[in-house]
Amino acid sequence: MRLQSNRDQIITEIQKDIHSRTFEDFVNSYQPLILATVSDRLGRYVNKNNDDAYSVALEAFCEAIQKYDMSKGSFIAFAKLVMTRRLNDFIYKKQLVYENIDENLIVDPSMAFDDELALKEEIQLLDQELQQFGIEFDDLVNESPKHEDTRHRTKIIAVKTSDENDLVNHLYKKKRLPVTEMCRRFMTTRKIIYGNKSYIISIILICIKKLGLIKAFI
Amino acid sequence: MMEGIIMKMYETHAVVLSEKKYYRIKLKNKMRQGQNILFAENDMIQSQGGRKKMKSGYKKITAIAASLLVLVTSSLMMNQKGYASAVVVDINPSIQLNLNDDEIVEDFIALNDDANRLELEQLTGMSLAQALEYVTQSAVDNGFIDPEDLEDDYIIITAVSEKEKKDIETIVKQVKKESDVLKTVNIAYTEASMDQVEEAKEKNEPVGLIAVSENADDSEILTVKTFFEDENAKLRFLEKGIILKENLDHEIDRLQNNLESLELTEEETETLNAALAYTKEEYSALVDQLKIATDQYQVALESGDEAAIKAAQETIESLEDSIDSLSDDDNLELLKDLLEDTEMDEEAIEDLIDSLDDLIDDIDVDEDDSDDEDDSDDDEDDLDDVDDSDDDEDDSDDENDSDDKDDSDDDDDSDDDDDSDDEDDSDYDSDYDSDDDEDDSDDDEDDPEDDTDDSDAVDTDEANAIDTDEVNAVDTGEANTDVTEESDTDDIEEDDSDEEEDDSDEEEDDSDEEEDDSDEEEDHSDEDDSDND
Repeated sequence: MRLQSNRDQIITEIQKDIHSRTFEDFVNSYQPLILATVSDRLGRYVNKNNDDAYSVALEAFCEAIQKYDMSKGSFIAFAKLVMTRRLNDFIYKKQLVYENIDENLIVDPSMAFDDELALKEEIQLLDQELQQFGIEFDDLVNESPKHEDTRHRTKIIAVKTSDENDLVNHLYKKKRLPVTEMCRRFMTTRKIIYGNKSYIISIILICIKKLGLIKAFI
Repeated sequence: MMEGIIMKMYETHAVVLSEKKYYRIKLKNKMRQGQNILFAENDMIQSQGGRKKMKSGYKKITAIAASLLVLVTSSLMMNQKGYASAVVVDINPSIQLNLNDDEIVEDFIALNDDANRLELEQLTGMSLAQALEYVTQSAVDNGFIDPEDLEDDYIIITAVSEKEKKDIETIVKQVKKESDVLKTVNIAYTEASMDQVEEAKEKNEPVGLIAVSENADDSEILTVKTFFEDENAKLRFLEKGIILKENLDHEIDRLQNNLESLELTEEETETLNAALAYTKEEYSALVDQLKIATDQYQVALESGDEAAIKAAQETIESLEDSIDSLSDDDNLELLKDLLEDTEMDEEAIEDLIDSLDDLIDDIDVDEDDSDDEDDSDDDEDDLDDVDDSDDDEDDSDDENDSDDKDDSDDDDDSDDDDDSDDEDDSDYDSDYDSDDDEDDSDDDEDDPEDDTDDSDAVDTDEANAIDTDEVNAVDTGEANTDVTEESDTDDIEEDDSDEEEDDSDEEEDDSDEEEDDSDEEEDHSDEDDSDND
C-alpha cells in the first residue's frame, strides 16, 4: 500500500510539472514494464536500435502518466492498457500502408542493418573458432564468471594473453591454455584461469580475431 | 532491463551476450543472430546452478558438497513455544530440532520432503550430539551423501540464539571429533537470526546459506550442495562461520580408493599411493601426539601447575595448527582437482607423475635428513621402488625453482609413533560408488589468496614432552601448476537445463487487433474517449 501511494504521489507531482527530473527517472524505472508490454504484444524481442514499436509504447506510457486518474484504479493496469492500444493502432496502420508488400519487411522494422550483418559475421566466425576448442556459446552461460570483479580480472588476463604470440600459438597447437605460463607472466593464480578457461579462451579469440563489434560487449 | 546481442539460437532457447556475461533467454519470434535486443529478467532462463554432465567415457569424478545445517533459533520465538533453542539440520533433508535448556531434543520439524524420508521419530529425547550423529548417519544410509566417493561432503551448522551459542558450538566441535560418521564429512558452523529462519522457510532454502549470504546477491543462493563447490562462496562463509574439516585420513582413503578410476599404470598408481600414504602417516603421527598432549593437559590441570598447563595448551595449539596446514596441503588439492576434473590424457598423467616424483624426492630428502628412528618404515620401501624407476626424469624438473613454494610441515616424532604405524596400512573399505551421471566442476571464482597460504610453519618446540624435528617438506610448486595445465582441456558437457518451451505468440493479424481494440475499450472507457482525440 505504502509503495503504491508513493507511486501515486510521484505521478501527481509529475502531472503538475511535466518537465521535472522526476519524470525522467520515473519513466526509466518503468522501462522493464514498457519493454515487456511491447515484447508481449509483438511476440518478439525489442530491438535496441530504432525500434518504432518501442517508441510508440514509450510515448503511450508518457501519455498514460499525464492522463492517469488515481480514483480509477491502478496505474500499472492503465499504463499497460494505453500502451497496448497504441501499439495495436501502430501495427494496424502499418499493415494498411504496406498491405501489398512482403510481410517480413513490415514486421521487421530494423531488418538488415549493415551493423547487424557485420556483427552476425563476427559471431559466426567466433562460433567456428570456439568449436575448434570444443566450446559452444551455450557452455559459456554456465562457465562465465558470476561476479563482476572476476569477470574483470579474467578479461584482463585474456587480453594480455592475446598479445603474447607464443601463448596464442600454444593455445592453438595444444587446444588448451598455457596455464602455468600465464600464471607466471601475469602474476595470477592457477585457479582463476582454470575455473574460467572457456570464458578466457572466448575473449582471447575475440581479441586475436579482431572482432571489434563483439568486443564492445565484452 | 538489459541490452544484449543474440549469439546463437538453439532449439529451446537462445544465448545472448550482455555486459560481459552470457545468458539463456526464451525464444521469441523474429530472432536473428547478431540482433541487438533489449530483454528483461523474466525473459531469462535460469541455469541449473551450473551443474554439468560429463560425456560418458570421461573420468567422472566429482566434487560434492552435501550439507548439514544446524540452526538455533532466537530465544524470543522459542520462548513462546517453550523451547530454549532450536537446531535445524540440513543435509538437503532439512530438519529443525527444538532443544530444551539441557540441549536435549524436545521436538523436531521436517522442513522439506527429503526430511520425511528419514525415520525421525527416535530423535525426541536425544542429546544434541546424538541427534546430529543420528541425522547424518540416516542421511548416509538413505544415500543423500556418500562419504566414500570422491565428492567432499559438507555440513553447515548455524546457531541462532541470544545466549546458548557458545554451548552449541562446543557441542558441535566435540561431536565432530568423536563421532565416526561426522569425521567423514566437513562441518560448517555459523549463526543466524529467527528472521532468517523464517526467510529460509519461505524460500525453501537452507537457513545457513541465507545467514551467510545476507549481503551477497540473492540470485546466488543455491542448494547447500552447490554452495560449497564455489571457492568464493566458501570464503564468504568463513567470514561468518567456521569450517571443521573432514579428517585427513578419511579424505586420503577416499582419494586412494578412487585412484583406480584413473587409467594409470601400476607404477603410477603406486607412486600416488605412496605419496598419499606418507601424508596419512604424518597425519596419524600428529593426531597421536595431539592425544598425548591432551592427556598431558588434563594431568597438568589436575596438578594445578600453571606453567605446565600453559605449556600443554601451547602444544595442543601448535599441533592443531600442524594438522590444519597438513590438511591444506597443495598436493592433495591438486590431486583432487585432477580426479574431479580431468580427462586424463597421456600428457596429464606424465605431468602428474613428474610432480609426484618431486614430492617423493622431497619426502626422501626428509627422511635422510631427519634422524627418525622408526617412523614410516613401510613407506620407505614403497617410495624407494618408485624412485628408482623414475630417476631419469628428475633432472628436467629443476629449472623452474623460482615458482616453488615451501611447505614446511612438522614431522613430529614421539614415542608413540609405533602405535600409529600399524594402523596405517591402507585397509579401507573399497567399495565406493563412482557417481557416473553427475559431475560438478563449477569452480567459478577462486580467490588469489588460496595459493598463498602454504607457509604456515608451525613451531612445536615449546612442547614439553614431545621432541620435534622440524623438517622442510614438499617442494612442488612448479610441478603443481604443470599438472593443472594439462587438465585444461577437459570437455564438459552441460546439462541441458530443462527449460520449458517458450510460448511465442503468433504474428499479428488484422482481425485480432480489431477485436482487441473493442474489448479493451470497455474498461477504461472514460479516460479513453477523451484520450483518443
